[in-house]
Amino acid sequence: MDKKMCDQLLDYYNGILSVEEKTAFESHLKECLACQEELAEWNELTEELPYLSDEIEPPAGMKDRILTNVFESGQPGEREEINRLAIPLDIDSVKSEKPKKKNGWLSGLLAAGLLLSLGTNAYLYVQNEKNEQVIEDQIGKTYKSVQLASENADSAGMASMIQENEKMNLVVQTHSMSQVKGKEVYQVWLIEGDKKYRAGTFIPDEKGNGAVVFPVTYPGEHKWDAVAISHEPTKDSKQPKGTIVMASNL
Amino acid sequence: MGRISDNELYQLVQEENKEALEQLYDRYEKLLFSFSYKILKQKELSEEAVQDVFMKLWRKKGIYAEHKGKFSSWLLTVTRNVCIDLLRKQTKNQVELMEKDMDIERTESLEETVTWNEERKVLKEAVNQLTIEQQEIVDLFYFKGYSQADIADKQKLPLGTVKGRIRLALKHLRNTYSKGGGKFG
Repeated sequence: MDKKMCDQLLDYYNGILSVEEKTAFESHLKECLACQEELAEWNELTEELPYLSDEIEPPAGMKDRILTNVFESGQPGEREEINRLAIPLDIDSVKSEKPKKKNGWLSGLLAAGLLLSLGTNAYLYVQNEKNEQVIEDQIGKTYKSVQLASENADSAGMASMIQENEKMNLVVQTHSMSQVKGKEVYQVWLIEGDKKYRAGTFIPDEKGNGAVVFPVTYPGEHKWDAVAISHEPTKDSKQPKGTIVMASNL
Repeated sequence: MGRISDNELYQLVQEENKEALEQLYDRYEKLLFSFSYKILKQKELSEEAVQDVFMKLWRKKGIYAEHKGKFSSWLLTVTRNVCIDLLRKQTKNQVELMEKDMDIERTESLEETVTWNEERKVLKEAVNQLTIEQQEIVDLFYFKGYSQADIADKQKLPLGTVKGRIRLALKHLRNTYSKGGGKFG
């Protein structure tokens, strides 16, 4: 019995060990009966502790969001295929640049949305070319322009970052979006790592067309990773509460 | 109507049955969300944690097997691991997340949803029987996932005694709990 190894059991239990330490401990665990028994004891001693949690009602729409993301993530074993399809769309390079900034809220839809967009790109492209022309004539330099992957196959949108003198504007245009009810709105978000910044709010017209020009004035340097539009219960969401309907990496 | 067991549902999930995953979701949504919230104290992150757990259930074939213990206990262990991971990342990045006015909606209370009101009451009484130090050590260890060294530091204890203290506190808790009508024994 390796006393030093045995002493790491609790930190192993709490997931604190580094990858190497963990591997070493696990091979020790296979050999060490005392540690096996002790681990079982800790599991047993803590088994009821989760039930100390106060009952909290999950946020509205959580079930839909989660199950949609889970099911859209693919069937078990389909992961390989999803990755392969996503490579041309650069989602892998985005991921490998920022492995630590996993964004659960977004990643499911980005992956799924981008897949979906494969089918509609050609159509969107024609539309977007026209839009870009207009924008360039009117305002100046288009810094970056992306098509938004849409959750709903009928609706489409694009986002452009436009530099005007020293100012950066985000222009988002959409069409054929579902109507909003009551106080609901569509909210645009700029995403940097884990953080989401509000970037304009709009309500589509009766044809589902909507647009917003948002001056990007968040202080400090930003490297925006993505832009997303979510369907929000009110115009006051400081952070996204609703489901994302369109998104794209920037 | 006979209630289908967790294990049976999990078997169906293995066969890629979406309804089965949805049923497991309905059963555990509230418990897992509440438990995640107890650890993370942040609703958006708690939702992310619950999503991670169900993602694992759906994507990782054979992640659960009966020899790993009761399904619910196993599920809660996975949830805790996910949460503690998120908690550590969050502390590391100092992610600032705004939270206060997240809408909370009363969901229809389904018969199938796991509830734990009685258990919680008895457990809380048992926790109150612990000394403040014991309560703190359980919190640091279990709900915050601290290392032994950090617990020693925080509680001003010699490193070698930390494990013994935690074990003592948990055993004490458990004894009081089982006397109070908890499920043990």
